[in-house]
Amino acid sequence: MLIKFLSLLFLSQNIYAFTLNNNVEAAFGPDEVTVYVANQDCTNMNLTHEDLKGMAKEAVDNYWNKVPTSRLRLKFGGSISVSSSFSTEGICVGNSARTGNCDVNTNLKVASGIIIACNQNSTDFSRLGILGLSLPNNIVNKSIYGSIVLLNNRLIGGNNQFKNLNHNEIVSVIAHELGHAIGLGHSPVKNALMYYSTVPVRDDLGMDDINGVTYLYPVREKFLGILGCGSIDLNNNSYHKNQPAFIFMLLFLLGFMFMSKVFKKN
Amino acid sequence: MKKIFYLLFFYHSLALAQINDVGLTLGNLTDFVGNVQVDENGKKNYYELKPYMSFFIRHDFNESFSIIPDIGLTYPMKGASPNTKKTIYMIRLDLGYRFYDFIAKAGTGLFMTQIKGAGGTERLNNGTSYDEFYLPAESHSARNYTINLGLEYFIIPELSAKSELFVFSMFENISRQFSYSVALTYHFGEIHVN
Repeated sequence: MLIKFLSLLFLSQNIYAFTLNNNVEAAFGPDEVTVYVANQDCTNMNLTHEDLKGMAKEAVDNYWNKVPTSRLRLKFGGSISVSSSFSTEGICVGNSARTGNCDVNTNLKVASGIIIACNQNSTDFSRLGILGLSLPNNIVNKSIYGSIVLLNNRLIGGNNQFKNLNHNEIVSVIAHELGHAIGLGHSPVKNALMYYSTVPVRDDLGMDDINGVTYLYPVREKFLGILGCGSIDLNNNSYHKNQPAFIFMLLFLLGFMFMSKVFKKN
Repeated sequence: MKKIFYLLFFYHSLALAQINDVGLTLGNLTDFVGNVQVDENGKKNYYELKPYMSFFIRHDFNESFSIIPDIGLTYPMKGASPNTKKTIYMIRLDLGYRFYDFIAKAGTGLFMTQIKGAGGTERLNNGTSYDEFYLPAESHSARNYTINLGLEYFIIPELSAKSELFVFSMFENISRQFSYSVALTYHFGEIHVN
């Protein structure tokens, strides 16, 4: 048994291979990042603005916020008014984001947070199979200030791929694009949300996604959280999570010492 | 504060000049059970291979109650990209209640999840073509405090089997997660310091 167990120590069966979508390992500075939906209908996708808002909220709540080792908390911010450029222009100027070399289109530059918009640009969405494109398009040094998520609202041959997806699949597509918006690249692992393609069933992150978001946004729970109070670092607008685990420990310890005295007397 | 706490604790243990047991644990940790997708059909992770090793000391207050600090780490798991590794370091402080051949435990722990990579790029499918994606090039660590619950059964006086549950983000509804371990412990027995 022991030999079998020790032999397992030298095997690596788990596959972790998350990637990043930029070479400076940029991440949002604040722990809380607001996700907005552009105030427009996505008619070719067969989605109303309200439909998209509901799905975006699900994508925010059901995926990236569930990781306790990550400090990142996405917050759904509702609708936001944007210019018509968000529904027609490409993410990059002069070429497609898919070519790898991107001069950011400043008309789509997001000042703060993440904006989800439906888009019909023929350069970026040259095929039905391209469901979305996302880019942190406002990066200063290693900090992401704003990211754009574009969903393919283009009709090609009278069809749009979103019409063939069910509710959960669309939610997972949005969650995948949010993964790019926070700085993650694709994963070669099929069980990961950041795998390049949709899979038959997707309702949680894979371990590769968890590792990626933990790498970019490692949480630092504070020991002094024993009193259960949060703290705000005004210098970087960062909310540090506090877990009052230790107050349990200390109270338990006191009770335990008391009990042990009682038992000793008896 | 953390350092003071641990120093006081270890001082307390040593000042009593009696360590009732020391031991080595080999086990397996499953992270965030039931909340991680493990295949393309939506299957969840009810078991995951992540071996760990830890070392503990036990100080008994009396016949029933004891305090058990424990320090350990998981085996650094490599990825499909051989330059990405993940290791979890665990420092735990449990209180134990002994009855029959069992010890019931409760306490808290500090879990440090370290993920590091050597950089470079990886060529991956991007839907309609292949692109270069960047691999992590630094070492980043997350720090979580946990609530621990466990039960240990002594098969023989020197060998016990135990299972433990670790609660992450206990007070946050969305990010609360549970990890569990199953392990075997070898007990070296009592040590007298003086």
